[in-house]
Amino acid sequence: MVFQPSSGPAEATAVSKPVGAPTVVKIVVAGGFAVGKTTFIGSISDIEPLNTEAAMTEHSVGVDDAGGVSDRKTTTTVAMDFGRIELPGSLWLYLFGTPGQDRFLFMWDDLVRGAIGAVVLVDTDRLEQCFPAVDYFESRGIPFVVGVNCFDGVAKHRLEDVREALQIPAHVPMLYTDARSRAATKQSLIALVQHAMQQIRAA
Amino acid sequence: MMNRRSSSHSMDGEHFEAATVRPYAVTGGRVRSATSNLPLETLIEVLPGAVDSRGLPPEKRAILSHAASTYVSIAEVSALLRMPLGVVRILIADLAEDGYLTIHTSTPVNVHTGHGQNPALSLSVLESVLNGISAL
Repeated sequence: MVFQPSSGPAEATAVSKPVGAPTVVKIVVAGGFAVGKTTFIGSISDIEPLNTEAAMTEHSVGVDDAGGVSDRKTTTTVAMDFGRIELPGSLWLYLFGTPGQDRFLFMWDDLVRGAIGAVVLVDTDRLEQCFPAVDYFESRGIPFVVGVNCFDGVAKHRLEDVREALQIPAHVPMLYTDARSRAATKQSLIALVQHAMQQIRAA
Repeated sequence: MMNRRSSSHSMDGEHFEAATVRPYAVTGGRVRSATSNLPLETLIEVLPGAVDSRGLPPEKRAILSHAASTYVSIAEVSALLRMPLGVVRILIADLAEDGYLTIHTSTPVNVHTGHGQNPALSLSVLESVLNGISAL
């Protein structure tokens, strides 16, 4: 549902706002650094992927050069990319990319709260980069699917080999994807939603 | 109803200056509030009574101006106004408390957390999401 800002004077009250706020759902897109999360989000988002920042305070205690104990706080900025898709029935689907580095895993709790689930993107040349994501979602029982990103449209490995290497349980869907392709991204999202529905039904 | 035009006098100049202020200066030094836990996708809606935003600091007026004509999420406010999430959450909680805007939190889908979930509702939302994505 799209509505334009009122072009009339400020008194024009009855702007065509939809009745009630949209229902909001979200899907998390995870994976290692530079695996194509933002490209994946951008391939299907209605809006250009946006970037939001959270300032993190890190507390460190240590011994400084002069032999004294230092107790300092440093502020780091963590960036997250996200996009949005408006679906029929006043449904807004947000896609949030996880911050890349492992040491920000604690931030994911905030991100996944209330999410449908996650798409974990995998680059088979750097398989180990997706370990933290797989561990995270598996240990919390959050529905996820694994999308093996085929750079240049070339599948280098059989899905079953990747599944074995990553120790992905049999019930977790795995598929080839191409982060640049809207159709492929769509398939990944569909696989995730179906998987989440199965998980609810089985509960 | 407040619109972009009525609130945009000298907003650009003020906004530019605001960006050079340390983030927590604009929250009065606070780093937490009752609603600092608001999900990133929480939507805000500016209330019709918020026409008069005079007297508010530029950051709050910028938020009201951005949200004036449409629902907008906390994540979008943060990205578009280039303010850290933590700051935006606090400012939005303040604005809600002072009656300038309404906060819409909807988390109908709860697949993995056991509490307070309604499987039938979650399934019907997921069904709509599935149909919607399939039709893209």
